[in-house]
Amino acid sequence: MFFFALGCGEKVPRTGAYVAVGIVIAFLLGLGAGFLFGRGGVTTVTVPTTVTHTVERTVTFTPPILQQYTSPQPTAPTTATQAQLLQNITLKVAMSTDIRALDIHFAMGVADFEVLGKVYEALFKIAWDGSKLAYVPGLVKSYSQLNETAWLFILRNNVVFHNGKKLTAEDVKYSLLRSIRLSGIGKQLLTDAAGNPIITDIVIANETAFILKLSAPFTPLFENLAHLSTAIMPKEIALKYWDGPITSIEDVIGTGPFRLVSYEKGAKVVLQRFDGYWGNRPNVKTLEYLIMPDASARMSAVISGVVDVAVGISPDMVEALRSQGIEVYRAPGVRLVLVAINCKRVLDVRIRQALNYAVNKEDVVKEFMRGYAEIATSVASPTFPNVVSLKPYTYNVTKARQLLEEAGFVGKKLTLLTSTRSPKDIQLAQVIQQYLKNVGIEVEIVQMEHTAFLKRVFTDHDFDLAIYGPSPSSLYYALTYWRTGASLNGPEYSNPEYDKLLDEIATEPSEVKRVELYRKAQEILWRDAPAIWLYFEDILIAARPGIKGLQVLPFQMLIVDNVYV
Amino acid sequence: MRRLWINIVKGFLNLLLVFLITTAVIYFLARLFPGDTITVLYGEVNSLQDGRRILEAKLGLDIPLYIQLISFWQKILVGDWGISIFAGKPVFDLVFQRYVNSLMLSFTATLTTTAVCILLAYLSFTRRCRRLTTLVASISTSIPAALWGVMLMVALVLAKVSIPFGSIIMPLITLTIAGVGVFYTILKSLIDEALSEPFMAFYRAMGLTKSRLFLKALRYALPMYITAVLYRMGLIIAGAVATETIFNYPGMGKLLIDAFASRDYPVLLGWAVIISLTLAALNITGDVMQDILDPRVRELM
Repeated sequence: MFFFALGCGEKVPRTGAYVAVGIVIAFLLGLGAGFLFGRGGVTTVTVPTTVTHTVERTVTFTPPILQQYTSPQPTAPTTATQAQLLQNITLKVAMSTDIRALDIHFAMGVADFEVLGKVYEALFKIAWDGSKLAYVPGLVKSYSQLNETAWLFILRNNVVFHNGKKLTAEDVKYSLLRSIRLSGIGKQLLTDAAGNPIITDIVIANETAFILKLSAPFTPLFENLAHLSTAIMPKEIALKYWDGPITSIEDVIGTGPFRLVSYEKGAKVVLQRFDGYWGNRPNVKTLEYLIMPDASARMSAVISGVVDVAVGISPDMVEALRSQGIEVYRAPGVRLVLVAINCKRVLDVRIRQALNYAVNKEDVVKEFMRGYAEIATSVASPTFPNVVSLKPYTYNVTKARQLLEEAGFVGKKLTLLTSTRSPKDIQLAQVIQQYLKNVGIEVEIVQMEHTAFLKRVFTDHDFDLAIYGPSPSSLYYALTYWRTGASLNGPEYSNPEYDKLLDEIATEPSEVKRVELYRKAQEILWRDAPAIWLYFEDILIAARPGIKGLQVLPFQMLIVDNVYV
Repeated sequence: MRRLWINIVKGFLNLLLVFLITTAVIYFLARLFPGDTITVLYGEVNSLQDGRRILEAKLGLDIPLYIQLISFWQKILVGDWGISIFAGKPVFDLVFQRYVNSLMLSFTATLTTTAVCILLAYLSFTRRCRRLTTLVASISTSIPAALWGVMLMVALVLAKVSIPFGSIIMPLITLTIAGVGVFYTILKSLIDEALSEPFMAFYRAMGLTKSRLFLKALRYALPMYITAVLYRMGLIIAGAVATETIFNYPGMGKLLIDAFASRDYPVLLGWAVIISLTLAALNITGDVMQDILDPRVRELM
């Protein structure tokens, strides 16, 4: 019976060491395997997206400075007829990444906005007519400007939260304050270049009316309030989670068309239609998001009917899907894929321009993206208002070499940082490496785990070149990425003239003048080339043929409002 | 009796040591890896100094590392595993659910693998379909588990069969197919070894039937085989990462990857605790089984 003595005498130390080493090896193996398989899809670095629901109407919306706006009357008449026709569809969607947090104010990635964007709404929303984006009132019914720095907003009066409580100005006040306090993006949107809040005070006039007092005139106010990072939650929730992210699903309460029912980390999120929704209720009753990091698993799932819709489809999967009778939807995307050039290390603008000339964007889009992308000829997606098309850096090896020689940048070596989250980025890095080799620049590719990548690029600025793709919510927001000292300014680009233009845009009341300022700022940024401007990635969504009326926003967000079967 | 108790205490202390070392190693590794929970929460937006400070204080990440670790140890000894930063649920509930899933996968995969291996070994022993068994073994070993998973999936899609994502079936089949090759080879070489032992010649001379002979050889091979199988069981419990990811099976592997990717330290530590204890337990089981099954080892003690 000796063997019942655990550890068996003198074997003890060996056992311990063996297990310890075993665990460390298992841990490292696990990590390695995770890098190989624990990711998928085209989604990579996603700098904040904003998204809300589109309305099926074309809105030509001029930024409303010194003018009054009252939104079209709510949709009360249609709800009666709609109620009879309402279907109860269960829609299953395969997603490539899990949501990062349950908290809309901490939402960052595509998945976060996809899911929480159906649960929460902001004061304004982003409308999409198929070619241009516009910023229209959401929870706000009407507004008017009181003076240069004060705006009066009236809320819609039929809006209720998922807990049955009516939306009041108090909720708005504490939600906005929390967003500015805690939300990374909220802070970006609602503070000025010096880090001071743009909104200095929120005065509550009555239940549904409030006044935003600004520190200075701020023209992009509405487009920034359309970002879901400024979404509205009940006051009690905002105060309960004043210091950190919402952690309990019971406290995920918004005003959106869907409410969160269950969340199983790494597996699935289930949303249920909210019957008290103030707008048109969708036909989809249950919206299930299945998290499938593996790209071929998503593809198989949609083909075999396990899911109805799959997002994060890469261009090389399109043909295979179509041949299996699956519909592939395509929409222009706002995600600008670029190779950031560290401006502190590559000081000479001629070198940065040379890098732009050295890459054949036409071929990259045609071969690498199989045509499912648009060559960037602007610094932000042309779907945003006021974006101008600029003189392209046409592929020209001779010119690139000449510029490099002028700048004395010959026989140099650069490191190119990529995140291991997307296989596509790693392939792209190899393509870029080849192009730069042709103009005499040795490129060493360094792959990093995603979070480590973010820290290295955006906090430590320790890189020469880095591949990522910001997806801003508006032109102004896109431009602020490149402001001196901005936190999203990974390459540490700095041009005082550019910074000054951004300040002028924010305070310029005349729209004509503002358009001109916008154009100037874009030209400067394009010319200074803090990045190799590559392409805007198309958004590809696979859906089973029975699903009709599905729409896709350029932020890679599904719109299920009009889905029917 | 006294020696038994001393050994039990020794074993327990040993377990404690293993647990302390693994949790410490994993925690330091995770914390020294660039990027932390707050980097994950804020992503690329990082200028938020107050936001970072508020959260660090809230999550207890602002105190020195070793104190964090010591307080973790203190809490875990009284059964407080902490709360997941992202899921907001108690770590124990999260990890335990996944642990049960992985345990189930590990047990069933080991059983099916062993069953198939014994079948193949028997076929080869009776000199039937020898080519086939060798072929099966070499195909199985030449393709890694992850690839087997993908191939299975593609096959099912082409056959228009709906794939049960999230259920145990697919990972089970994948791990069985991928495991058969190696374990068949081990079992076969052990049986061949047995066949060359004089006692088998004796049994043969006694006129035992083929199947009886096979059982005798199997009995001889068992202790070594079990040691090998237990090692793989441990690996699967710790996480069959690739297979779990492909088929969306909620096991320990996915838990580890998710926890690491989101730098959810309490969950990561929970994983480390449960896995270190399991691996230690498996190791002890291995020794004990060895003792039970192999009389020679018993005599040595």
